[in-house]
Amino acid sequence: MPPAGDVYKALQIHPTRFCNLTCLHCYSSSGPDQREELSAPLLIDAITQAADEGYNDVAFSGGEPILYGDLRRLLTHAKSLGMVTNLTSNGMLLKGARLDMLAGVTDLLAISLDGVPASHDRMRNSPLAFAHMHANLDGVRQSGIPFGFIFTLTQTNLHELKWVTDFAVEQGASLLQIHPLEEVGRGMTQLAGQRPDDVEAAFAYLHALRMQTEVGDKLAVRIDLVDRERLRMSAERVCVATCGVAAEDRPLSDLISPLVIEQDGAVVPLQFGFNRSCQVGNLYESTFSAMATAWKKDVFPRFRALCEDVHALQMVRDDLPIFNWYEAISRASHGQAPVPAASDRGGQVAAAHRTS
Amino acid sequence: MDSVVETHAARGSSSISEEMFGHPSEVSKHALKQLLGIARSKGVTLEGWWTHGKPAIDAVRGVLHVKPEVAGDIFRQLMSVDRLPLRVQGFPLGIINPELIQLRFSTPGSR
Repeated sequence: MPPAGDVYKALQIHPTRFCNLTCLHCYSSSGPDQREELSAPLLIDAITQAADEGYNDVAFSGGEPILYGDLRRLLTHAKSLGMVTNLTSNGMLLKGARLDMLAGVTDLLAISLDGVPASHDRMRNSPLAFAHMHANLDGVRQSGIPFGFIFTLTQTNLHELKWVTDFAVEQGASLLQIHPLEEVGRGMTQLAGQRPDDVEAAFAYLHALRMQTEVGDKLAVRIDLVDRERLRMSAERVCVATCGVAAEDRPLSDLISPLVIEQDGAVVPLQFGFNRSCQVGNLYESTFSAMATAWKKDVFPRFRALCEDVHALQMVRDDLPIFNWYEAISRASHGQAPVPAASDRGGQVAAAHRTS
Repeated sequence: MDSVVETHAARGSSSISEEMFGHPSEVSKHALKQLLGIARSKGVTLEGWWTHGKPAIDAVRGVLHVKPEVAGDIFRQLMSVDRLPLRVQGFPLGIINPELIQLRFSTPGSR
């Protein structure tokens, strides 16, 4: 069973890295000068064949997916195959024709919200980011498209989560998703030292539980962190159980979810930036179906061993139990050591910040 | 030896710590582990975790089961967590419906 459960087997597509912003934390280093994009016919074929391999959830990221000219065509095609559709947007362009094109073919629109307005603008590297996004929310509500917010958690912004939660409820969002910063892409240079350590992760997890109990059914609160103890009891969430069936006889969605298509056509497991040595293939070199067949036979054993190794390593850690599985396995795929916990940094005790 | 969490002005959790635990104090990692363990033992968790840029579609189409007696039990146990002077009103778990509450998160037009 994949980390996000058994129901949704996700295909995440980055059709382009073209974006109107240059956010400090951007994992894909997107921006206005990134014009490379995948063609709609290529992606339509991939979506069709991915559906045959059991994928039932298509997510669009980027870049700013709203700027991809054939987005509606892809959303419409995915819906015609019975898939759920969702996308992540910075929200600044969600009006007029660009908003209209999402209607009827979008099951969830996730809008980035990185804290109180000043913090959001700073992270988005634009003094207009919050104002423009906020101004578009009335139109989003009127469109009837279900929407939510994604908040990037850093080492220093957990105290803004309450404001973000209240804002999400006030705006009529269905979801507040908290995602921990990873120091990859532009985040590696612009936000070095800002990834939340195990202490911030633990507080964030508890705080998210608290926020969920406070808001009740007004808002679904999620955090993209996992409790190590839960993985101890259910390793199959991250290590595919064989179930006595050969990988070649199973749909690819049983073996990898999420599956990611990057803007250059590479199809990689789990996360943008995953080591290409584990890639399923490239859409410019092979069809999705052909690469899936070959991957199951030739690469899956190695990928499964990687998952098992990372799981085993996590099970013997003595730090706080809340961590980012995708960060851990992506780092391992590149041969990088796990990020040390706060206590491992030899930090002796310092008194808490005291208010006067 | 259990270490106290280094908390300084830069940490986002420093003001959260004050709010959750009554006043600025040294928070031990052991205490954090205890809190997490209490929640876990009662089945109060947040399910499903996604990669960056991937919206949690399952969250808006799922069902959340919350047992009020569980929430209340957690609250009482928090009072005994080592060295933490908890402020009762700082961690509201005030679900009062005695029945098992099934909270269905539905969105307009969802199946």
